[in-house]
Amino acid sequence: MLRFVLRRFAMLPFALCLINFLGFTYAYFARPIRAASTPYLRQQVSNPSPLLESYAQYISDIFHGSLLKPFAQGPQIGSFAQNIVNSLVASLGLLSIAISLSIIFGIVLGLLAVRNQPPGVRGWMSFVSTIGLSMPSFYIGSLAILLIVFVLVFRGPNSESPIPIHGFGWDNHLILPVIALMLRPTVQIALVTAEMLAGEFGKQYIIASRSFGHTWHDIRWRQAMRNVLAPIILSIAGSFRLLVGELIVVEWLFAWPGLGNLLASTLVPGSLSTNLGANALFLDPTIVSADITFIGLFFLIADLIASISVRVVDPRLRGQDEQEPAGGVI
Amino acid sequence: MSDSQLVSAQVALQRGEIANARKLVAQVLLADPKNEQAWLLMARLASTREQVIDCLNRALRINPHNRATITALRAITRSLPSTRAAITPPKAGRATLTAAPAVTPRPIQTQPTARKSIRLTVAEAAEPTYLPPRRKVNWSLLIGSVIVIIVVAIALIGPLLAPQDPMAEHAIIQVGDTWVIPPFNAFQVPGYPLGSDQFGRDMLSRILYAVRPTLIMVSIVAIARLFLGTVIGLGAGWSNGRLGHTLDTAISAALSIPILLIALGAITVLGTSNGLIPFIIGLSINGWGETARFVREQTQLIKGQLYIESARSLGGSTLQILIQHILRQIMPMVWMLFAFEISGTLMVTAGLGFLGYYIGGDVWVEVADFVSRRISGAPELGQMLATSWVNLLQPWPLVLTGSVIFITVLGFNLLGNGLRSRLNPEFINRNSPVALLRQRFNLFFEENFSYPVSNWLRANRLRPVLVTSAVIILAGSIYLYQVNASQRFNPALAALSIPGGEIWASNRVDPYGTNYINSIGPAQPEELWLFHHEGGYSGNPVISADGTVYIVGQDGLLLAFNPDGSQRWQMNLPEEPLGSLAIGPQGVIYATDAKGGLSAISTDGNLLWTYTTDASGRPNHGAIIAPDGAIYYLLETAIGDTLNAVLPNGQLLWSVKPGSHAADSGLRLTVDGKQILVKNAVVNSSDGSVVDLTLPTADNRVYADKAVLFVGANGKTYLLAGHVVMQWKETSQGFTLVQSANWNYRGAGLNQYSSLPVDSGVDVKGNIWLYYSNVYEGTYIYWLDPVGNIIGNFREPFNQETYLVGIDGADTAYVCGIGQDPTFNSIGGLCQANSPSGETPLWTYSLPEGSFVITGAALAPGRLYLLSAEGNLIALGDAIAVPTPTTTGP
Repeated sequence: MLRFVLRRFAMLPFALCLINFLGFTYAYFARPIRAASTPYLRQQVSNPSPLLESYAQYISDIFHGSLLKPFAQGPQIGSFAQNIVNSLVASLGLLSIAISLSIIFGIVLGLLAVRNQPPGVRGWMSFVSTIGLSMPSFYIGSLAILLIVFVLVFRGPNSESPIPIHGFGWDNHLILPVIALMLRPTVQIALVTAEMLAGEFGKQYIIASRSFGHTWHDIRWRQAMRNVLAPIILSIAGSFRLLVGELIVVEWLFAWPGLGNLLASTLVPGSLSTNLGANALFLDPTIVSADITFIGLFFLIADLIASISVRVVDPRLRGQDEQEPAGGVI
Repeated sequence: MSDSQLVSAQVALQRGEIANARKLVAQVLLADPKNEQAWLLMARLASTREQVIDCLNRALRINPHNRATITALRAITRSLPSTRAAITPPKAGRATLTAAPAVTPRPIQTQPTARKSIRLTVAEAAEPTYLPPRRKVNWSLLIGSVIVIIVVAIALIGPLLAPQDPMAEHAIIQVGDTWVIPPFNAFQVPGYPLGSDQFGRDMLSRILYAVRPTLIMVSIVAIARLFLGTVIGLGAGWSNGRLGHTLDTAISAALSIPILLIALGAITVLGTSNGLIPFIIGLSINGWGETARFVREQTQLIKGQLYIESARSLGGSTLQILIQHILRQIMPMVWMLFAFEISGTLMVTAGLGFLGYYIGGDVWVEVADFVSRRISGAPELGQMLATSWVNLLQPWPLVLTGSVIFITVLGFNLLGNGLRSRLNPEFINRNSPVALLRQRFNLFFEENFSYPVSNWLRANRLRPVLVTSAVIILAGSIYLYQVNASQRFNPALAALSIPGGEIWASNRVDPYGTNYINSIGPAQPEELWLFHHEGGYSGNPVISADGTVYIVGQDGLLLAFNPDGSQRWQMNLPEEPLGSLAIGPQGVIYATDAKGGLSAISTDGNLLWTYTTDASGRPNHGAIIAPDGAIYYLLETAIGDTLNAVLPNGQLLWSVKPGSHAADSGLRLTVDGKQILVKNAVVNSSDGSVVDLTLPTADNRVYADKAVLFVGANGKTYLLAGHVVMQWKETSQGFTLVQSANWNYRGAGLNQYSSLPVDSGVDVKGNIWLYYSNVYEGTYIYWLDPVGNIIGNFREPFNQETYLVGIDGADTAYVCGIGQDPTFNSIGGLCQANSPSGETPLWTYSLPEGSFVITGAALAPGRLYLLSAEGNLIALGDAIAVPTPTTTGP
């Protein structure tokens, strides 16, 4: 177990460096290609030096603190590092709240959906999960906004929105982005919880426990839940990845100034732009690489936590680490 | 172990291998006699009724609360009503069943089904009629199928149902006493039941049009993902070695990285304007993960089966086993996976569309100085999402488009869930007519195709490799040849030919006015010969099939030159000429004059006839000659133009007023010769009647008068409306738009209502060229593909006196004008040849001293003839042997 954790931690910096380099390389090559397809950008975007030289310069800038200087152009105020950190904090906060609520609601919903006897998943769960998984996050967000618009129309002119539908703040600004983000992961976690528990309830030891007089409450929480916790944790990790993917769309929709919004700003042409270039951040290799690195960090940390957690809750997996040679797939 | 054996038994049962399945279940029961699932499965495999009852009894003993088992037993008891009378009830209110004699008869208790209890004996149970439990309605399958059928139907016939043109924009609409600006809400404006987008385009019509391209795209992506996922999943599930580990890792990686991120990156690099390919690649790169995981699991499950081991021991190769055994087991699941893939792809496509990545790419419109706004052109769900997000207080277009996507995704998800349930062996009815039909078809296919081909391949090991390699090489060569050939001049593509085979027959090359010659112009601007005529020339030169060049001086002297520059003949026209000459199919030369008349001259320089008219107007562009010999020319005047049709013998056929006023546009004959396009009006060539045609520019005060109808070199009809070129055709409903090349002219810095193109045309491949020239912004040509993607543009160093000679078969444009240096000082007359993709001109020719302004020109194979205002006829060409220049006066 310890060896596994150490190995994963040791791999983390290498993986991040690789992701950073790939992100930089991608933006380096994509920038002129994308510009070439835009007539007014054709002659304005070119790479000043070869890739490795540019990357070395970028790394050198990081170590010499050049990235602490303010942006030369663009809508953001403050240094490069400051902007990245601000975006990181905004995204991390949003993600933490959304995933926490998804886990709580998902598990509760899953428990409500499971049927003890005969074991199975209640019919409504299938309905709810199919609908929930069919809803794109921007659609959930736009529905919520439509609802608020109706409220505003109903209240009459000069009335204020009950919930902010745009912008940043650690207050009720969080409500709509969190709802848009958490719905699909919630349903996913609920479905996995219900299906795993239903499968568990059909097993012999549950019948034996019932015959010994244990209550369903005890069986659920003390026996069945322990056995299904590992797959639920893995599904939470999967949901987290889904959530990070959705982050771009949701932050863009609600103008939440996080990493997703920043990445979208570099990739997306935007609805308004100058004729001289899509925007100041247009596929900027330094920003894209930093952004991708932090998003990659989210993935790796989520994966690491999930891998350690499943080994903590399921002793059977710890044994596999000892037997499985390096590189084996569980 | 027992679980996997049970699964194997289920698979064997599904395949109809009853004996094998029974053997597998028996092994499980020997090892674990208290396995409820095994007894239930054995009940399905039992051949007699008493065996079924016995198995169900045993299962019920293990799990007395299993409602399915109880229901099955009830069904058996209900199926024999005639036997009930003979049954002796042991206890009231309880039904007691006895098992078959082969096993120990042990009564078990079930739920009361009737007031009378029954006891079945062996004799009574001699005629088994086992009825399966009643199947539940598969609501997912039912509802999902209905939604998917509706969506597919909309994709197929949606455009036919659309009440409005999905591209028609409306800046403002009056409803009663109020004016409404877009986006209109649902039912706010009559005729817009679902409202409009920010440009006033009908949402219902756009949705009806949009489903088709979106569904085609996601279907292609789903097929690509399915293919990749199946191949990788099979490899990962089958191989235990390094390959298996590598593929396992690849699957894990594909599942870990969000599809949206990868798709965004890939599409950004490949460009949205390159059609479907970037989306197919971007969405397929790691979207195959789920399918691969499923296939891997199934492969691993099936790999352990006995029949796989048998196949191996019989000498089956890995490929054979994978294809003939494993893939065949997985194939029934393909439809389920396909449904899920479509829904998954649609979700990502929606996300991409929302972020502004959709098929066709960005189109920008200037909304203020130096500020552009992105709009979308042809309707597609991704595109609609991209531009539906106007502002936070107008979410209706976004919600509506999102709802369509949500319902479609829901439909495919429900269908996938339903198919998953349907494909569960527990619910498969192998005796249904469909199942029986399928079994027979499979048998027929195997006996007549699959096995013979398989045997042949096995017997000829080398042959398939050679045949496959040859086919791949051949297909690749053909593809590369086609790609290569399409980029070169291809005379076979030429759809139009000039009547009589002439080289340059009228003002705009041919009677269709294409300004396009079906051959290659000069590669080098060698000055071959020069002829000077005092006073200058009228219109363009024309070139007959044998290369004779005809020009007419402003003093009325008509001259004929051989290609080598020697003069063939000259003659004086009866009237002062005006406009270009024209050559008819028989080689007769026609010259229009300043009084509106027309003269015909034979190929040897004799005047054949002269037609005079009282109609006022000036034939500025000369005449065009139809393939049947009819001559059409337009007399232009501000009070109303007159179109004359003259027979080849000089008699007037008809004369009409097409409605234009000083059209300042050459006539164009349609390819079928039935209509003449007069700027933005259409006249029937048979009787001169004006066709009642309402153009899309009719309501636009700026574009209405500037719209020009023209014929492309591909023979199709087009409309130049502002900066946009639309392909159209005339149907019973009048003007019918076929395709509109909406392009990013705002992004190119062009103003919506000024800087309009002065000329445009279409080459044989359907590519569009737009020729711009004005004093302030200079001269440039944009090349667009048929849907409006920019495929090239170049800028000429001319700001004044520019002249577009024409386009040749290699799409080279020949442009002349007075050149300027960067400080806007004139550097004299220049001509340049430019290819669409070239940054620098193919060649530049400086006019000789004394020549500045080009007033007319004509292209011929390897030749360019220029007429200067100063009276010079210059022949440029590739030939090295330069004939002696001649200089003559009138």
